[in-house]
Amino acid sequence: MARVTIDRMSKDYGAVRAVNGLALEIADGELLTLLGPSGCGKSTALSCIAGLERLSEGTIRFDDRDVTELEPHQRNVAMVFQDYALYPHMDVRDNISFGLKQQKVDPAAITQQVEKAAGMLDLGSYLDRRPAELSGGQRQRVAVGRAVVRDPAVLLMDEPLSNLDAGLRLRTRTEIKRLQRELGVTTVFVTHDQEEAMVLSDRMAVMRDGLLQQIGPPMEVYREPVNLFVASFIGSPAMNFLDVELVREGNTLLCRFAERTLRLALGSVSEASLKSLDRPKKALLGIRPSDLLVGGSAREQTIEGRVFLVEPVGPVTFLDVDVEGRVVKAACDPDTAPVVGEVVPLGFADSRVRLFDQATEQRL
Amino acid sequence: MSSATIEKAADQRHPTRRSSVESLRLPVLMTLPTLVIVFVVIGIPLVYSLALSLHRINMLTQQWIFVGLQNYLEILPQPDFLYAMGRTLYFAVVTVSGGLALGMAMALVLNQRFWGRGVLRSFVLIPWAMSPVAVGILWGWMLNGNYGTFNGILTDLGLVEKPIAWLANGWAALNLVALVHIWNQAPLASLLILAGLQSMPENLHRAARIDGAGPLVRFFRITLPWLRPMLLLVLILTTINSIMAFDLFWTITKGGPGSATTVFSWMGYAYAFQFFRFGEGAAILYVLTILCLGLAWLYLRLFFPRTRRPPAGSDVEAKPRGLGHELVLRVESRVQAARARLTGRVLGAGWPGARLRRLLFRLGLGTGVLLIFAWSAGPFLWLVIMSLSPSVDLVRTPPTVIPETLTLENFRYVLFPGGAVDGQSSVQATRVPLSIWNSFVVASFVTAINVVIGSLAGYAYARHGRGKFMTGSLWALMMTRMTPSLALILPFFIIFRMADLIDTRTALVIAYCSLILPLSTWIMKGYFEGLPPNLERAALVDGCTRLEAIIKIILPVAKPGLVAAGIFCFLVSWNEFIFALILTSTPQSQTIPVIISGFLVQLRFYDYGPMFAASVLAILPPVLLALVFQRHLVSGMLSGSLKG
Repeated sequence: MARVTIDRMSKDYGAVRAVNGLALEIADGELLTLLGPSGCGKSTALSCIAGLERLSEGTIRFDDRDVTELEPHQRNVAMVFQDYALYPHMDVRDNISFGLKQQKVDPAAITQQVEKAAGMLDLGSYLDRRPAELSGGQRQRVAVGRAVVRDPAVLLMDEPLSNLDAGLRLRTRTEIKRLQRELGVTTVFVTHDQEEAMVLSDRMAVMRDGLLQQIGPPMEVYREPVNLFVASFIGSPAMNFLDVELVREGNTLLCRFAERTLRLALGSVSEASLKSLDRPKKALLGIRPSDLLVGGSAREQTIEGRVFLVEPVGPVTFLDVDVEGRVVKAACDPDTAPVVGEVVPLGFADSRVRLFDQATEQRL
Repeated sequence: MSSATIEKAADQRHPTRRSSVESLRLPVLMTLPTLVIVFVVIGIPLVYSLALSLHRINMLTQQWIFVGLQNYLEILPQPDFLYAMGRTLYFAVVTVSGGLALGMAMALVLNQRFWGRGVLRSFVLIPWAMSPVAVGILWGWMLNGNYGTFNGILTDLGLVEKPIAWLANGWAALNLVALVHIWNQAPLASLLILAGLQSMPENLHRAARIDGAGPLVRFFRITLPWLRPMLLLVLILTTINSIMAFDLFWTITKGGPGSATTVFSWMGYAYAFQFFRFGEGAAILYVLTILCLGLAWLYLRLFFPRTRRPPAGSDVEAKPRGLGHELVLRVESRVQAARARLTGRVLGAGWPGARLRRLLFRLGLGTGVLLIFAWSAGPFLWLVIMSLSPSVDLVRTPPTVIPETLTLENFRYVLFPGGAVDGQSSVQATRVPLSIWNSFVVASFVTAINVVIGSLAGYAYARHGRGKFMTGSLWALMMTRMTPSLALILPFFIIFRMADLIDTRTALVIAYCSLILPLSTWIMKGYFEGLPPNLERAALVDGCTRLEAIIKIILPVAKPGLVAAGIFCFLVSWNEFIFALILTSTPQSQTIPVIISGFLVQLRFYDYGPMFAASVLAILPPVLLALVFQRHLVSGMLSGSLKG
């Protein structure tokens, strides 16, 4: 187990800067996810931590040991790959024990550790099979077993769930979280699936174009996105954004969109932003579908719109609502869902409104 | 190395930045053995033969007189030269188009589902696996003007009174050699095309059928465009093979009658090794080299991984394609109309039409399968029968193909030369066992060296092929593969004589390695590229060093590729003829193709049986290997030639 400190890490491929000045610290035993769309540099960052890629700039430390210049085999890291990369010519037992043999661990201890890992991952009856004879889920478990058996300082996982079908993915997700807690191993988990990241992470780091956007506990990132990108990337269905004009008027914030004007509390924006709102400013009002509820009783704000699509997903029903010519996604109780064509009031609380500067895309 | 110093300098400017020198060192080390062997053994001779072509050499006094381009200038305008050039071009056009058409036809049949398909796919490879010398001997005999097989068949059927001298007519001779060349080369084309057909997503044709495209439209609009890169590859490979063709001319026609089959390569050979005019010979062969390198350049331009074609190309192609489509559609509608008339007349409209069509299809397919079998395996089986016939049976007048008896005598004769009977002793037959041993030793060494060194280099190119040094050296390596071996022989001969290596198996091993290494490197590169890169990454994370990852993980996983490359090397070096012919002179080091070609030189009637027995022995190992490892071979060649 180790604490990982990444300091101003950059990685260039020719003229392309895949990771740009990434700085973060991962606590001992923490599970951190690197989250972002494909091409955001998250996998490159992971390869750098593994030592598979050389840094162009910056340093990486495990506890107080500088590992920047070390080869992967000198770092005591383990990795689960997206395609698992099981050794096709070895059976499960040899796959799992390969790393231990490389470390010249005593054979008796190897047997014991392999048995233990196989037991944890329910692989006991497959130890003599080759990867080709296993199902996708079993291969995935072998890959995890191969990684955890060595008791690594840092466990790295590169989209390990993306090759599994939906149901298995959910179950394995839970398994991985449980396993990580049990082992208490410092883990960096790369994914592009925001829900996966939310469920798994102690903290998650959202990346875009090689730059770290925001890092924090899942609910904090979900509730308090620092910019438009994070707000739109986290959460499903995605947050609604409305073009508005903001201006301060005494103790309230006037928020005009189309022909309507909403009055918001001053606390909806930060102190610093408030100062610039003496004059009208182009902004985006963000509100999550799950915070925009049909009925609007006891809500601070209400807007109206005509329902044109109803999407029941089970526990809630989502609605596409036409509000002043804009499509807004809202939610309602499945039992009281309106029908298409109905005009419904949509209510929301001031505290759930997030406002962004249209020009800078930053949170106001 | 200058790039290294530049990197060093960059290193000092950014203290935190790691140089890439270290990561380059391993790949360079891995490719070095291959590069050294290939460039020393091919590069020096090429330069040497360039020097030769610029001099006039007196063989007696060993005097070199520099004449500049005079050899070229004297040869180029000669009518002989121009005729030879014309024959080469004619030969290339006929063999390439014929081979491509035949290969495509065979591939289309082999792509269907029928009983025994796997076996037939193997059989198709037989002509290709046979050494060209054996092919030449077999076909030369079948076309023999007095006793040959075709004459035998025609006489037996009562179709001719007198045997026909097939090869006495120059024009016929050239075309017949072309036919034999097609027989020898079409299997490669057909299996490559077949692999392309099989890689085609099934849904492409399904979608086209739903869109209402008939079989013809689908062939021209779906299949052919899909196969285009493959066809281009086949086209270029076979073109180079045709231009370099030599062994068949040596064994079947020796450039005659007159000069009717004197193609370019034969002319160069004749000048250098029959008239001993080294300067002119070298000049001719150098023209051939340039021709081949030009084609090679084309080949690499089209297939090299980092060659980007302008994206505007699709726009440019739109119009002619549209026209072609129009044409195909029109033909298709005619065919459909004709078929409708036909089925309508015979059976009336409705379901019997479909049934008839299926029946006709099965019939056509059956015929195709039988024809392919007869074409591919027939001559081979006939060779086996001839090897089991007593010599006297082979030279009967009038010629006949019906054997009187079958005997193993010929094989006993060549395998246990001590026990010669009937006072018929053939010197050549006594040399067969040793030559087989020589072939085996040479081919084994070449294979071992290639598998080890070639796979190292292949790995380096597959995984670290990005730098300038790596791309450049790969380019150069592939260019040498396109050098006609004939052009190298003269300098090889002279250099090996100076090194006192002439007439040794070592000389052959060196020569073959330099010829085959580019190819085995390329095959292995393709194979390694097919392996997921995360495999080594996993091994690195699991605690391997880079070398350990290769040895413990990559090599075991790449075993099928290694096997394919190994068999390929074995086949090529076992079958090679021209180097062995020139570089060896005594039975101590002569290989089996040289020995069987030697039968031709001093042929007595009692030698025919042993000659065919020796031929069977010569082709048995490669044919067996090809039959057993057909699948490996094709996929190996594919990964080596297409993936980038």
